[in-house]
Amino acid sequence: MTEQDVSDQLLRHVGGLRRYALALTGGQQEAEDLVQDTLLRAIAAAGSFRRGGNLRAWLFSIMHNAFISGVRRRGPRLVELDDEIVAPASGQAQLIRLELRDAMSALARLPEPQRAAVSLIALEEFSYEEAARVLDVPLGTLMSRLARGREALRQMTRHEPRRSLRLVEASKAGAKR
Amino acid sequence: MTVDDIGEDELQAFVDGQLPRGRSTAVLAWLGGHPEDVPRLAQYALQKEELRRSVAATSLPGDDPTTLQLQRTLADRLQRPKHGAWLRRAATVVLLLAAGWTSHAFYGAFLEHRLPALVVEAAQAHEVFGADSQRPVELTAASRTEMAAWFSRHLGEEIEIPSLRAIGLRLVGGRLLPGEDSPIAQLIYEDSAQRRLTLCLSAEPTDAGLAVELVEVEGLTAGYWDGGEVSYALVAQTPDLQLVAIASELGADQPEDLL
Repeated sequence: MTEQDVSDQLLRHVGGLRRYALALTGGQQEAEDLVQDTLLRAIAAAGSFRRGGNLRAWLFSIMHNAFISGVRRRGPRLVELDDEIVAPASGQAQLIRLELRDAMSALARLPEPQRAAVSLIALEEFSYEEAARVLDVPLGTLMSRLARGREALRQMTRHEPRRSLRLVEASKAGAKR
Repeated sequence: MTVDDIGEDELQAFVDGQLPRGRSTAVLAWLGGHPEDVPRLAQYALQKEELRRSVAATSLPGDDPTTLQLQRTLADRLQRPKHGAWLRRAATVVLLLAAGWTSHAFYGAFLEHRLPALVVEAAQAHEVFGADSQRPVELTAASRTEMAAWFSRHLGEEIEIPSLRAIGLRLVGGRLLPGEDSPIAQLIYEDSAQRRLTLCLSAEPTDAGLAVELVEVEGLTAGYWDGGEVSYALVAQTPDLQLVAIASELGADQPEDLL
């Protein structure tokens, strides 16, 4: 890898790490701290990274371990969402903001193993095999966590079906490729 | 035609576009016979979109200076794959002084000895943060009591910030490192020529005992010992005897076979 390659790849992966950290911790500052903790560990372990290996999967495994050991150290805590996400707004904008909060707060209520599995697959589009490696679990375990996590999320948000339906239409125009 | 039986894993893979080639038709055929499952899968797909938008809207912009600095350091490390190699060797390196020089002990130490995580991390921290006199510290020496309180809280043990003024070393500052299993307090001291010394403290025992054990790796000397509730690792580019002297100043016993 050339110097530019590594820097570019890292830039991209750190964006992904930040999203995964946010999904795991639920807070912006906690997420940034976890990203830094991960980078620090990666610096310390850089010698063990195989040239040409899967940099993204390597970084995500480090983050996952950092998160798990952090949780053990601090104990589980209730996730609070930052206020600005639910700041008052009007019309469609408000609807979307509420919906955003629902998606994040529902995710935060999942048990950690399910939250991790859903985040890697849904947010970062890891292949099932890669995600299983990152979390260091057998493929079958990953699949059952994914299925249970998704179903739990669905149960949490299903009480407002109309709002979801409206948002599909609103988002599809812009978000679908 | 008979419709294959489709399991939950394949339904999930259908949602994620991760079905093996040629299985989509089978899944679609199966869904034709199980319309009750269709809304559920559609909601899973919708859920994905919502999660992505939600996280993207909440994510910080990525301009945190510390993060960027760490990112650059990591890029640098990954481009120099040889760089970390000495640490891997250090994990099995001999304790020349402590193990003695008989060939039996030499090989025994070489094969069996693993450095405590604290020592490996201290050496790495010294390389990353300690060796460069230009690099700023997070906690400055001015806030000594604050620093002690901060470390004590995170390490879960009463931490005192040792003074090494008596032997001409000035405290520059410190920072808290994540550590492999538990947090580590890193303190950086400097002599009059601005040569730096790293002292790391951890609440995890290293199993070294009260006498300092010495390791030398590529120009760096590391010494470590357990002092009651707290274990210590010292790293500097300095002769063994000097390091032992500093360790004694910090309360360590001298190694038995030093001279």
